[in-house]
Amino acid sequence: MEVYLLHLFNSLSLGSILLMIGLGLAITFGLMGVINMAHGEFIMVGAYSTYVVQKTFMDYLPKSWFDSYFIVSLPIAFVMAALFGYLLERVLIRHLYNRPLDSLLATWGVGLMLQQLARTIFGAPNVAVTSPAWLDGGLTVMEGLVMPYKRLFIIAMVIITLTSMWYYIYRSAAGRRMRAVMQNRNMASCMGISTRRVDAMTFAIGSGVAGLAGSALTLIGPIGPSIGTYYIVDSFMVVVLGGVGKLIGTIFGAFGIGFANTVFEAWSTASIGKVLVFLCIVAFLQWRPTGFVKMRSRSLDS
Amino acid sequence: MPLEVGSEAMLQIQGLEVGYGESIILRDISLKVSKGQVVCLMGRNGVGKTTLIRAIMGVLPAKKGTISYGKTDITKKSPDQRARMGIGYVPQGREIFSQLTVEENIQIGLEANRFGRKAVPAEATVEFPVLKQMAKRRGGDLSGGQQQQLAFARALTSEPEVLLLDEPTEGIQPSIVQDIQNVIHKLKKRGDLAILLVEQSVEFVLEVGDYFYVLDKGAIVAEGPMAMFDESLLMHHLSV
Repeated sequence: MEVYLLHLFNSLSLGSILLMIGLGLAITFGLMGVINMAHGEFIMVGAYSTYVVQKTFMDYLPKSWFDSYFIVSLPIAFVMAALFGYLLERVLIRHLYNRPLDSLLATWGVGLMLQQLARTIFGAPNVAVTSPAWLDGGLTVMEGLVMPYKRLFIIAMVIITLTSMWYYIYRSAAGRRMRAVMQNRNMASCMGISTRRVDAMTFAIGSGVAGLAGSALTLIGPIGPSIGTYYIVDSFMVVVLGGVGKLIGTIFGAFGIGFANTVFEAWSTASIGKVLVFLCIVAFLQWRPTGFVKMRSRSLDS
Repeated sequence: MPLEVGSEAMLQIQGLEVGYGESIILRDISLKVSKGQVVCLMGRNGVGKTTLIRAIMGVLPAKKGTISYGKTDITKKSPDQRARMGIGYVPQGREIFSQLTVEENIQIGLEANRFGRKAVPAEATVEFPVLKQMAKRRGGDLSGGQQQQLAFARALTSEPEVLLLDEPTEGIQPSIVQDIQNVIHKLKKRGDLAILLVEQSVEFVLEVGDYFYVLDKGAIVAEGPMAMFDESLLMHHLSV
C-alpha cells in the first residue's frame, strides 16, 4: 500500500517540477509560438539569482534572517529572468516572429552566451544553495512514507504560480489583450492594442516564470551554468505533449510524464525508464499530433 | 473640386497610393468623410475597396499621399494609434476573436475608448440583445450574422468618431441584414459619426448614403451626392 502511495507522491512531485519548468514555456512557446532555446538559461538566471540572494543574506545580514532568504529570492528570480526575457524579445525575437528556424538558432546562440556569462561570473563548477531550515525534514504520513517539505513546497509553489497565471491570462484586462493579440494580431492592433508592448510583456512574464522554476530547482540539487540544458528538452516535451496553446494541457503533460516516469523507473532502471517515457510520448504524438488538449472552434480555420 | 457636403471633414484622404511590394493597387485616391455623413464606397469585387479601408486603418502602408483625421496627419501612425484616436473598424469577414467569449470580444473595444472608460457603454450593445444572451459563449461559436453584430458592438464600444464598415451585410442571413441596416440608419441619425461604408447592395446605399465614390481598377472613377447616382454608372462600373 505505502509503496503505491510513495509512487503516487513521487510522480506528483516530479510532475510539479516538470510543470514548473514547463509553465514559462507554455506562454512563450505555447501562446506566442516562439521556439526559445534560451528558455533553459532563464531557469539558470533564476537559480543563480537565488544563489546570489542567499550569499547576500549569509555575508551581510544577521544570521537570524537567513531562513527568510528563499521567500525574498522568489520575486527577485522572477524579475531578473523577466528582465533578460524582455531584453531578448526587444533586441532579437521581435525581428524573428514567424521565422521559427531563425529564432531557434538565434536563441540557442543566446543560450550559449548566457551559459558562458554564468561561467565567467560564478565559475564553471556547480554551486550549492543551502535551503532554509524550515524546509528540511518532511511530513511522515505513515511508516515508510515521508513527504519532504521541499517537495511539498514545490507543489504548493506550482499551484500558486498556476493560479496567478490563470487569473492573469483569463481574468485580467492585460491577459485579454494578450489572448487577442495571440489570436489575431492585425485585428488586435486595429482595436487599439499595441501589439509590440503586449509581445514584450508576454515574453517577459513567460521568462519570469522560468526564473521561478530556477529558484525551485535550487531546493533539489546543486546548480551550474549548464543547468538549463538538462531541463530544456523536458520543458518542450511537457508543452508539446499537453497541446500547444492551452494551460490545462500543460498540466496534463507535466503530470502525465511525471507519472509515467515514476512508474517505468520503478519497473526498470532510471535510464530505461526515461527511454520508455520518450517512446510513449512519440507514440502518443503519432496518435494525437496536437497533444492532450486541442483548441477547437467553429471558426478556428478562418 | 467636387461639391462640398457636410461641414467638418473627419476623415480626409489626398493622393493616396497603396500597393503590395512592387504592384500598385490604389492610385491617386482622394476622398472625404464628414461628421454625420454616410459615405459609400462602391465598385466590383477586386477593385481595391478593402485595400483602401485597410490603408485608412493603417494595416497597409501608404506609398504616397496623406490620410488625415480631423486636422491631424495620421499617414505614419500605426493601426493601434489610429484606433485610439477614434477610428472604429468593422472589417470584412468580421474577424472576431474566436477563442475569446462574446463578452471579452466586446471588452476589447474598450482598449481604444477615447474617454478611457473601463466599462462597456450601454449604447454600444443596446441594438444587439442576442449578444447579452450569448455573453459567455466563445466568439467562434456564433453564427455569421451574430458575429457581425458582435463586430459592430465591439467597434461601438470604442465610441469612435469615424466608423469604417467593410461589407457589413455580406454573407449573413437576411433577417440580420435588416437589423444591421437599421443599426446603420440609427448611427447616422445620431449625427456625431462619420461613416465610410463599403456595400454591394445598391438599394441600401441609395437609402442610407449621402455621398458616393465609385472605385474601378484602383482609382476613383465617379463621385457625387447620392442623388446624382444613376443607372448608367451602375452599368459602367458596377455590373459584373
